[in-house]
Amino acid sequence: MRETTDVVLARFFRDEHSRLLAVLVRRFGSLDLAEEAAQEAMAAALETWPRDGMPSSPLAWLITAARRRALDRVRRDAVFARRIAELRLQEELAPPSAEDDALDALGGQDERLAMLMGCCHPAISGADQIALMLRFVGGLTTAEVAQSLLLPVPTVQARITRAKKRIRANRIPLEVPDDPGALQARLPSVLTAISLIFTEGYDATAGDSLLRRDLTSEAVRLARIVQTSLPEEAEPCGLLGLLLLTEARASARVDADGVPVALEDQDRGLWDGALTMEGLALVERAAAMPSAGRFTVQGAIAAVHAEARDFDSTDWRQIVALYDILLHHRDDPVVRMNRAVAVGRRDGPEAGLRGLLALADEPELTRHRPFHVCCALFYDEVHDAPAASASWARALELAENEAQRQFIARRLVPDRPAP
Amino acid sequence: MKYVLLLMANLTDARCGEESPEAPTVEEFMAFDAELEEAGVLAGGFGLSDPEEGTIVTKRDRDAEPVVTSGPYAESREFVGGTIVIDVKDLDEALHWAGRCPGAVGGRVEIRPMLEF
Repeated sequence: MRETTDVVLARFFRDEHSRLLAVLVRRFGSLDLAEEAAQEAMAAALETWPRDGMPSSPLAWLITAARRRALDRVRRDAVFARRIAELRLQEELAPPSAEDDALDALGGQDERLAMLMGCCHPAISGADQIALMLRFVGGLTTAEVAQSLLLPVPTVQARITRAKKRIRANRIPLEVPDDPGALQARLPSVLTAISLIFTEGYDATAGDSLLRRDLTSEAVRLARIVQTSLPEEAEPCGLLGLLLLTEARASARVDADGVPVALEDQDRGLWDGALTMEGLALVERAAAMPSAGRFTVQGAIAAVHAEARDFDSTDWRQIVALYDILLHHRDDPVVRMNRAVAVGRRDGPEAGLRGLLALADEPELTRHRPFHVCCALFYDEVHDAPAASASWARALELAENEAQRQFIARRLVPDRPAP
Repeated sequence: MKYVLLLMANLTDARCGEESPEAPTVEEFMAFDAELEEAGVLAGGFGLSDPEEGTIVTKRDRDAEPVVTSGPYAESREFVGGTIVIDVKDLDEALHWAGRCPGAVGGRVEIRPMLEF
């Protein structure tokens, strides 16, 4: 019996820890106090619940327990109290209200959006933003964050400590900005950080495997929080759609040995139909909204692929047109590279090569493995073997994990039948 | 909470009051000051004379004789042109004001929370 409760608790804590923390941060205005109170409330729950059974509303129970503990802490510790005095805890000094009030205070809005906004504050560096998001909104422990980012635990610990100190010293608000303009300004950094987490999971830069599903599903979870909190905004909707459409292809994207399979060779029967359907609907909804931007356009590109029965029936004209729109939102060399590849699919490999070679001097692309893979594939198609092997060799130098190395190594086999 | 806006500039930059299209004018700073005053967030600050007018005193250790040199400090091209202290709710409000500060144009405004003792 005890064991089942523990299992239930473990799952519950994983899901609800980030909500509890976000609610407490909002109420106390202090991340440190919220963290401490949340931890103590969870410890109390571990002690009480197995004995007395789960309360009818566990989150409300935890909020109430955490609030009592925070008050104790403030009463116990005068120095802490003075620092907290000017913060919002003042309001909390009223007698603790019933659990129902605690739940009412949740309102409809997901408090985790506020945490996401705070974690992605421009005053916090990009690497720290991601560690904070995974720790405080993803609800991962520091060790788990380290594991998912393949970083040593002390590094992650240092990042989180540094970022927390910055939040405290600078009083960085962990809030959704009231001003709609400020919200609009902050949203892109939240979405970018989520998409970086997804990309790291989908095309891992470190480790032996290409896909790290824990990271991709964490990114999807975070994107979902933003999308459901801001249903009228196009970009969260577009990003979630993009991530789902990409995630849908995950099973087809690597073979039994974990080696990546190119889009053209993927068995589309392995694409996850439910994820694809949901992704398509989201992208369609996002595209109809006036605030549609780069993530929605990227989602639309993924949607064109998802709608094609097979690689050959892909609507490349549509994809080139979408890349043109994307360039309008975000002119960067990688987007231009992708456009050149789409042109190559539309007009033939010679055209694709021309487009790629025009970009060969872009510093960002000379070190970008996919650029050399794309060149190599087109060289293969026009039967320019020496140029192809030079490109494959360069790509191999730049491979970041074993799966990528194997993908390239297979292409390098000399007796491979000509395509 | 009090934040200090450090108005940073480079020795090679155009200076405030100079006849240059990039340099913020004294009038712009005065207008900004008035805006802060009106919003009730101004909590102090000062402008500084040019770094060439500065004098530097340094002691190698506690007992050493002070060594005096005329400024600016040769190791750094950057200098503080002045400060503005604002008392606002949080960093976002401080960022809002820093973004409106004439010193940010072509220069740099560094926001530093003031330590409270």
